[in-house]
This record gives sequence, structure tokens and C-alpha cells, in this order.
Amino acid sequence: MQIQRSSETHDVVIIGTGAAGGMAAWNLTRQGMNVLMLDAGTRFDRAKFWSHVKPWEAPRRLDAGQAPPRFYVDVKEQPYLTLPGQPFDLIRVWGRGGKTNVWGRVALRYSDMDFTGASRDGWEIPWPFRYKDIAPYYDRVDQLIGVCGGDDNLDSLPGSRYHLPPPPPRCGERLIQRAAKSIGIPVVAGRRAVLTRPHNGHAACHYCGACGKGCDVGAFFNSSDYLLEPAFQTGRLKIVDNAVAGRVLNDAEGRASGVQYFDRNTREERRVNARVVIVAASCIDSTRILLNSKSRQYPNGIGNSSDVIGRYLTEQVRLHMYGFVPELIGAPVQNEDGIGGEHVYLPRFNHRDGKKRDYLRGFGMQFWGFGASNADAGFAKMLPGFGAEFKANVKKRYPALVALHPYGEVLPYADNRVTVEKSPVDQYGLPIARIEYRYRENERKMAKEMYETAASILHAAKAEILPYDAASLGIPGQAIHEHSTCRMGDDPKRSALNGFCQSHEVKNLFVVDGAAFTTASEKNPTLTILALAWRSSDYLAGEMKAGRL
Amino acid sequence: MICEAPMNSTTRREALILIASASPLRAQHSHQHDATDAASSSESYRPKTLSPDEMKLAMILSDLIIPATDTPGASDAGVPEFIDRRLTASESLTRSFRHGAALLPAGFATLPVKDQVAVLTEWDAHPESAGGRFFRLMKDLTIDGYYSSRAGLTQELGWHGNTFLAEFKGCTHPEHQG
Repeated sequence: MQIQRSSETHDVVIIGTGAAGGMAAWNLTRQGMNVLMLDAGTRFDRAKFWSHVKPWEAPRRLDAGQAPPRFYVDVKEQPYLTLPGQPFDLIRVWGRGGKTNVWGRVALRYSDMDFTGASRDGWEIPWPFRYKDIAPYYDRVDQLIGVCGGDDNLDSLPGSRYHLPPPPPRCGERLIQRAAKSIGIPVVAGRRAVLTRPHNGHAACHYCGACGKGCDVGAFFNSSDYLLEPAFQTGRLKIVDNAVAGRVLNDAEGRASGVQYFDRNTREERRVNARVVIVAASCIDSTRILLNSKSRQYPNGIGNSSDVIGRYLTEQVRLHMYGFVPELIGAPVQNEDGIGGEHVYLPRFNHRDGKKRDYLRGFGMQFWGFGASNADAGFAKMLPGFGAEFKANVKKRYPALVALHPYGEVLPYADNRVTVEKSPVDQYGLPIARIEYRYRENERKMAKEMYETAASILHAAKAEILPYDAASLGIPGQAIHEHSTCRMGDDPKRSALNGFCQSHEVKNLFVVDGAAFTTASEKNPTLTILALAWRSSDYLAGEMKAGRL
Repeated sequence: MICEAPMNSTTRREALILIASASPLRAQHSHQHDATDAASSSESYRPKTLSPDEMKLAMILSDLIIPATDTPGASDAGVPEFIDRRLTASESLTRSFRHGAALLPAGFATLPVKDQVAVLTEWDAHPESAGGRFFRLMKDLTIDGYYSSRAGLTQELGWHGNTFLAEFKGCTHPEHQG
């Protein structure tokens, strides 16, 4: 097959158009650089989102040949391997904006407790910067994309002066907030990248609660509308659709020289040249691309002499508990859609009582799926019996449902990892990702306190608690927060990137997505991905202008 | 509950939806021309997997689990159609349904309701038995189908979400403030 190679050399080629790639493209084009992006899919059309298709309308629409956008990659199209007994759910969106089309929108700042955890407890390495270094970028991201939230400012969750007004809590959320407070655990206003008022030309939320189907008016941050469209307006951005990246290429001196990619429809191979390559294909795919980028200079994958790339995969350990709060059993049902997810958040608190834990790091808690914010009654499967009495029970409990979801940090382990060595090849002839991942003693011990905390809050609320399995730690991957397989650090022997997401080994190679995170934290990563990509691309632009790239 | 969204955030398409939803003619219109509501059009649905006898069985079992009260029951809400769709999408689910249905006593469909209830009560009490597993399957399918139907969500549960609101007020119960 003839390989099509463009003779043009772009200032920067970016693999991936999600939060990380989108931010880099927006920031570099506005600073005068010519950017080419490779997107493994195409643009999603908001007019075709099913945000306002009622649950009962969907079957007949499907019969009629209509379908919602296919956001998620089918594993049959792009498989990955896991080991027996070690499941890992890998959720991928290929297409303009990536996962930001359907993301959870929780926008929490990491704190120095996250950045320096390893300095305090000695487990693996700390991040190569501190909160004060990234705080200005958090400020800028909040202002650019619009994040609603409260005015609280905690050691484990730094505040922001730029929050849009938070939506008021739902009934159950007020009761849970009160119950948690009664046992000394603060529950604060949630922080979400949802516009509670119009912001920077984007429409405000209309409280339809269907964010998971994509927002039909773009009222929450997504990379396509908020970053790529303004970048196009500079005239310096091009995006190649259906371009599945295969390898980062390098020249004889070991510098990154471009990217090999494949047309998703025709499978034709193509190559583009670049002065700088930014990898932002989301953690696992970025890692696979780097590990597959083998050459004479880089037999272990580009930039991987340290053998760090692929290792230290972290996600989060995530549990679920449900109950019914007595005040709301039989209460009149209100519209509880709000901004989609929960309006409150329980920040990490396990460092406050001064008691030593038998595990390292910590957890926070989220609360999605209260009462009438659910357009279903799945909880009914856990209620006993059947018949008219059962039906009445479901109706009474529907507004009273509360849902507690603790998220805990998973420690980095060298053998929780992504490899390609023992993999079969995909339809493009490239080895697929093989994911080895399991929880260890630290996660099991932390999960015990996670369950106990959720149970104490429910007890304090005098809630009926639905049955749960305290031995279950859930299926890894389902938080969709993969990180750390190409981590940053000060020591090139123990990390792949410096604090600006620049490869220690290949100076014109950057990896700006979750793969770059040194640790996981208990928090959702996207806000930090955005801040980090902004900061790193500022550095990149400076280096390029100074002639060092 | 339909509210006007602020005009500066209302696209033409949203405006059309707002108008359509607010129209008093909408219910009648959709019944006549819009084949999107299982409840209003189950008579026109052709099962793809279940035989007529099996559809009848799905109707009887789902109505025993969620009967008509002051609101519609499972079969009126289109649950048999929902079950047929689910089974059509899954061969293993279809096998489980047929294995389970074979456990029912002969002539189950014509038994008095109290005898039908007795069979399910026995199975419900023995979740590990083959009958118990079939009951679990039927209960889960009925819950999924009923509480995603228009009747189950809006008439029974009182859900009126996924709409356009200019403002979200949160909890308005005075006793939960503060």
C-alpha cells in the first residue's frame, strides 16, 4: 500500500481532540502557531443528540431507524486485553471533543495534599510542582469554561474566586448534608463545569438533567465548542477526521518528527511531519501509541528508556451505597433534574481528626442519582415482594432515594500497567493495549472506611439502607479516570515527563492528558488536565519562540 | 412543568420543542400520528421473538408484579413489548425466559389470580431455585419496562423531568431549609 506523506511540516501535531488536546490547540493557535490535530472520529452534531428524547420514546425511534450519536468506541472495533479475574472497563470516545461530550463535569482543584502526598508518606514520587504553580491556571480555566460552585476553601479542596453561582441542593441532598454535618463531616456545594448563567457566548443550562446524552445547547464545557471552535477562528487549526494515530515517528537524532496514522474508514496509512508532537489521546490510548512507537533509538517505545511508560496505572476505587431518607418517603415529587449530577460534594476529610489510618491517602464522596433526578426506578429491584403493595412501596420511596458514592485514591504500583508486548494486533496491524490492574491491601483498607463513612452518614440521616456487599470494590475503570502511565517527575529515571509534560528524553514530545498525572488523587481529573495542558502549552510556546524546540 | 427558557439561550429547535410541548393538542396529536409512545401504540407492535402465548404470559406475569391500581399496570404501560425487545436483543435472555416459562404449572394462564400469586410467592421466597431465578428475571424486566414507560414514570411516579426550566429552585420544602 502506498503511504501518503504530506511534505508540509506543522509547528505542532496533536493526537486527540479532548480536554487535553483541545486546550493545547486553543492555547497554541492563539499564540500564533500552526496546529494540526488528528481526531480518531468526526464531529458530533448537537442537533442530533437525544437530550430531549424521553425514555419511552427511544424504542420506536430506534425502530424507525433513528439513533443517538455513537459516542463510545465499540470494543469489537478497537479491542483491548485484560487478564483473567482482573476486569477493567475501558470507556473511550473517538470523535471531536472526545469524552468531554458526555463527561461527568465535576470540576475539583487538586491540592498540595495531592501534589505532595508521596513526600509525606514515601509511596512513589511527588508531583514536580506545587499548588501555587498551577493555581493561576486553575483560575484561568474556571474563567474560560465556567465552573459553578460555592465559596468554600479547604486544605483538601482549594477554593476559587471565579465560580458561577451553584444550583441549590435537592431535598435529599439537604438532608444528607445536615446528617453529615451532625457527625462532623462537611459537605460543600458541588463544583461542576455547567453554566448556571450564560458565559463567554455559551448558553446557560436549562436544567433538563440529560447531560449524559450530550448537551443540546452546549451549556457544559466540551472541548469542541469551547476550545476547538475558537481555535478554528484563528485560521491556524486544521483537524484530520477519522485519523487513528499509530506511532510517533522520530528522526535519526531521536527527535520526534511526526505521526503515522490510519484512516478509520479505508485503513490507509498516512504520515504527517511536525516540529513538536503532543500526545493527548487519553491515558490508555496515548500509552499504547507511545509503546508502539518503537525504533532503533527507542526499542522500548519513544521516550521510554526509563521503562516508566505503561507502569503505575491508577484509576479510582469507587463504591456505591443507597438508602431512603424518612422525611421524603411519600413526599410530593418535585422536578429534581437540576444540573444533572449532584449539587453537593464531600471533600476528603480523613486527615482532620489526627488519627493515623492503616492505609495511605484518602477519599471524597459524590452523590449522583437522588430521588426524582432518576428517570427510572432501578432501586425497586432491591425492594422485596411484588403486587400492589410492592408498587406502592416503590412510589413512596422514589423521592426518598439517596445515593452515596465514595471515590478513593488508588496508589501507583509498578505492575498495574499497560503493555503491548504480548498483544495481538488491531485492524491497522498495531498491537492492542493489554491492561493489568488490581486493587491491593491499601485499597481494601481504605474501602472499609469508605463504606463505614457512607453508612454513618446514612445512619445519622436515619435512613433505611439498601443491601450492599462490603467486600465489593466495584469494577476498575468505571470511574473513567485512568492516569499516570506516562508520569511527570523531577527524576528522569523514575518519570517520563518533566513538570511541563515534556518528555525528559525527547524534548519535542509532550504528553498532556491524564497519563501525565503523577498520582491519581480521589478527585475527578479533567479540570487539572485543562490547567496542566494550558500551563504546558505556555511552556512549549515559550521554548519554541526561544528556539529551543 | 414547562417554563420558557431565557431567549438568549433558546435555539430555534428548542423554541419549536417548547411550542410543541406546551400545545394542548400535543397528546391527541401524538396519539394519532407519532408512533413513539409504547403505551399508546402497543396494539400496533409486532413481537419479534415471543409467540402470542408467550406475549400473553409476559402480560400476566408483569401484571402480577406491577398490577393496575389507580394508575395503569405493567401490560397497559407496554411492558410485554419492552420484554420482547429485550429478549430480541439477547439470545441468552430468551433462553432464560423459555427455561423459566417451562417451570410454570400447566394451565397457569387460566388459573385464578390467587393461585398464580401463590406460585410467584413460592418462587420469591426461594430466590436460589430455578423458579426463583425466573421470578427475579421477570421482576427485573418488569421494573425496567414499567418505570421507563410514560405511564410508569409520569402517572405512577410523578416524574415530570427532562424539560426546559429557566430556573432550578432545588428543595422547596420549608422544613428542609437551613
